[in-house]
Amino acid sequence: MNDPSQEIARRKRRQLSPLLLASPTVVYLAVFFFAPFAIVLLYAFGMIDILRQFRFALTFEFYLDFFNSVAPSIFARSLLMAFATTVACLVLGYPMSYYIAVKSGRQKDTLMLLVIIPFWVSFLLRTYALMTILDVNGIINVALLSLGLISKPLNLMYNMQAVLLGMIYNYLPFMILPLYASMEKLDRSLLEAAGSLGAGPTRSFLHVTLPLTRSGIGAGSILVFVPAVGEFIIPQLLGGTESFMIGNLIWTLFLKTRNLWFGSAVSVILIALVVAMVALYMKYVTKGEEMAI
Amino acid sequence: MAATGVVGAAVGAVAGNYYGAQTTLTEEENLRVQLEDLKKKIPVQPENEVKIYTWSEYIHDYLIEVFKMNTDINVVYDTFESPDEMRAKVTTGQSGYDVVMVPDYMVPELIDLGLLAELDTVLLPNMIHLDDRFKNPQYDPGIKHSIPYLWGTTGVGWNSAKVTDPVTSWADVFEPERVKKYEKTVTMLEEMREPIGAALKYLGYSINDVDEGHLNEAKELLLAQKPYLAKYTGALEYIPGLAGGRFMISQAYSGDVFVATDDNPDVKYTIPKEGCTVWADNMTVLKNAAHPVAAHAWINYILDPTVIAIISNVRYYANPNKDSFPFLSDRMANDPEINLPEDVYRKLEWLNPPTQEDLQKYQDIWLEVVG
Amino acid sequence: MFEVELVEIVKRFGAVAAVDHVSLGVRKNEFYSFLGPSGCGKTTTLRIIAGFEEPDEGTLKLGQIVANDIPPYKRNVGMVFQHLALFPHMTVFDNIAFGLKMSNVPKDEIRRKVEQSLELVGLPGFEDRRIHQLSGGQQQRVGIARAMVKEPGVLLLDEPLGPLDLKIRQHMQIELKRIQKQVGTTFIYVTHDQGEALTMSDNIAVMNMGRVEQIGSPREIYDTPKTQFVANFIGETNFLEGRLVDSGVFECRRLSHSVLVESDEEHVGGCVLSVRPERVGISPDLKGLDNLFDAKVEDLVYQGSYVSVSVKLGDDLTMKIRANPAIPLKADERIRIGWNKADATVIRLEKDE
Repeated sequence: MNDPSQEIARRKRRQLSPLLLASPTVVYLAVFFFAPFAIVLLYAFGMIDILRQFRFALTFEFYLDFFNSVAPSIFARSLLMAFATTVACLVLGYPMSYYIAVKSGRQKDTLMLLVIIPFWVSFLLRTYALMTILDVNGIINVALLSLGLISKPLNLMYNMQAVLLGMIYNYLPFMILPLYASMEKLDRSLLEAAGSLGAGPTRSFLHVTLPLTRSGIGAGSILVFVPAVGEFIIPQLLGGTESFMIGNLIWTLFLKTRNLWFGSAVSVILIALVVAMVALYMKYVTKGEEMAI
Repeated sequence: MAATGVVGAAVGAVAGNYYGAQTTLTEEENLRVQLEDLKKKIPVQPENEVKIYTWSEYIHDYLIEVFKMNTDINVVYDTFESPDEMRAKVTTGQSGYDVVMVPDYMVPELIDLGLLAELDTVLLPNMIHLDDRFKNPQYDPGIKHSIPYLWGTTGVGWNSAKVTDPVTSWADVFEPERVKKYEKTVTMLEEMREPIGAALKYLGYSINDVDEGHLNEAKELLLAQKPYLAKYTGALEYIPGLAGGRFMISQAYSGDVFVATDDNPDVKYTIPKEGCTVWADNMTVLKNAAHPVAAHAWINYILDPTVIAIISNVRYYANPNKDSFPFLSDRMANDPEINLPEDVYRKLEWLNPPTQEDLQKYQDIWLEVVG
Repeated sequence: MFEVELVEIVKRFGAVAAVDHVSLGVRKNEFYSFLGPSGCGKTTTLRIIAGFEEPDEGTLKLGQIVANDIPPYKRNVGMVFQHLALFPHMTVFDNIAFGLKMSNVPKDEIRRKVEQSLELVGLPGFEDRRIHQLSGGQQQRVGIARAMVKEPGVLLLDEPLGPLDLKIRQHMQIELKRIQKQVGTTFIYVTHDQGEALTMSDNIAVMNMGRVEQIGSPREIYDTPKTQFVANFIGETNFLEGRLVDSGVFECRRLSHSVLVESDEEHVGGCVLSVRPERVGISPDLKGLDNLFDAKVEDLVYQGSYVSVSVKLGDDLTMKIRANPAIPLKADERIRIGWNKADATVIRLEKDE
């Protein structure tokens, strides 16, 4: 009847089945994500010595070397650029999201479509398109020249401003979408309530809208900041000699100079840094976020 | 609107294809005549397929067709975008290719790894056409494992209409007074050994010099130059850059500059008087090739002066085949690389494959420069 | 002198007039209700007073001032919203203090006033709770406290007791009335629940399809409805169609004889007589009633404190009356019913009916 060993076996089987269901994903992740990551970690903490043999070396001198090299200034540059991009996207994206969120259904859909359509074009092509606009023979220069506002074409590319522009252009939708989502959820009657209590438009915004869209701001900032730190294509295409970023560094180390150990170390430091920053940010942004549904 | 898009795409595709061919009408005529001769010359082979792995955009497709037609050997033609890509595949030992195009600096490494077969010169009668200068390069003495295909130098491409003083020396990119005039329109290559090599040459050293002091001098030179540069870049950017007038002076590979000249006849190429890097792409046969005889047949075919002349004419790179000169187009005949005077030739250097320490030294310097 | 006055207010949404020439006046310290079914325009009218909708025509006066163009945050009008709209990211204290903060009231005074208002609504000590931790009734009270702490001249309430269950609702009704009397603020209260309106209001405006059907005290509305709609909407009633043939005499075809009524208009024409079930007496307690009729019991429904009885008069007139459950009644029983002429109301038929 109720043989205890059978019962245990049955229970074990039941516990096993969800695991079995998830196993394809687990295998996939293990092979294509965790394994390579483990390899990078291994390289980051190891070295190849003169005898072409591998040994572990979390050596102090190595990290001293690191800090004495150009790497820290490159890190600083990338972080600054990513930060500037995030702030710019927030400042530009917030009003845009708000504008879309307060529109009626049909207009809302059309406007959101306009925001998303650029994504249908490859990211590389979009950056190239930006280059044709900023080029010495590009639209801006041609227009300004023909209007007689300048006599010589402006050098709009190959500098940090061009890179920033390219970053903002590419990352803005990542800010708009989460912001829009949180604004959509916003209960309009809260703003009316604030108004009935004497808050004008500015103060309603500051005290009601802004705090309640905090989750959107947080999500958008992370979605922009994290990839922006590692961005290397935009600096490579639009940047000049002062735009060498972490992404470019890692790329050079892995593919050009084939220094896999330094490259891995830089990668690991980058990941650690970004994870730490995101964790701090999440803590700050989501404190007191239990409510707002 | 969709129809317009499709038509536009079709027009683009046809134009692009035609652009790729890029020959004038009279040259086309020449080609046809030459190709007719070819058809008679190639003997029939026992193996029926050859697999080739080479740079993309490195041949005229017509030539593949001719080879196929006359030898009844099927040609599988695969391309790579970078030598690293090729190296990764070939070093697995199971790439499945017969003929592989290898840049000069990588030949010794692949020989060491035992990947390249020794060539059977009996099957390569056309070797007699090779220029003596290429018969004993330091990367493959006696060219036992490789046959040079096309070669070039890394000099300077510049816009002769906008750059008033002609470019003749590396000073034209390194001297501040010179570069300042063209601030933000000058580029250097992003392949680290080339800018470092150029700096060393300008300072009077060898491009393969690994002396710490000399390297530091080169580094200082590059750092001083950096503020005036637009960026460090590659062919994909500087070819349209030179042609379009975005860049005035660019350190560039010779063949690339000729492509730019097509679009803009003002673009010129100069080998600086201090000398520069010379490089060659070489045809090799893999040791484990499945069709070694067909591979040799293909290489021999390429060594035919008329064949390689056609390739030079359409790809704008010089070839090491001295008997091909009569068949070169006017433009190629005017290439300063062809008919290079002896004294200039002496100043050219092959890049040595670096040791691990050297690589580290280069890396350190390069990172300081670009970072 | 009205605290709030609406003169011929019209508000259209598309082609439809949600508020169709509404005029009314609310006096100081009054508990005034807008009563009507959903879609009758009561909420829109309220929002016009608050400033969240702008009238297309007409004048809104707050005190002596024409207020059509004044934005909501500049009006001295407080509002309790239908779904409360409490700020979810703030504590109870911050919610209530919000209005005071907007007026730059000093911190210690804010604290004092907030504590005071929590006392007033019966939630002392709730300052640090978060909104989602409160029950429905408690949230209601916070909403009221928040709106009242600024001591506005007028407090608008938009069906605030809707989502609450019966017992709490009844309790809150009493509480609201108490608070209003205690503080003395003018309340304008929107509801579709006629029982609520009758219980709490000093004055009621009954609305239907954007128009005001009748304005009056609860008793007036109930006892002397001026239109069929009001009579039907408030409480239960029996409608007898007929004609007023003479002042005081109402004839209905279906009745055996004419009915004595009280009417001050002398007009011959179609009318409807409204007789409330509870005003109808049943034999044998018919002493002194003006109008008496024979009837047959058709249906009995037990309602707890009374029995709802359907009776048939003549061949085709059914009336609903109420009987004391103690009286034994059976179906098909023949009885006599009657009512006083003062307990029935003559309502002129609308012209388009």
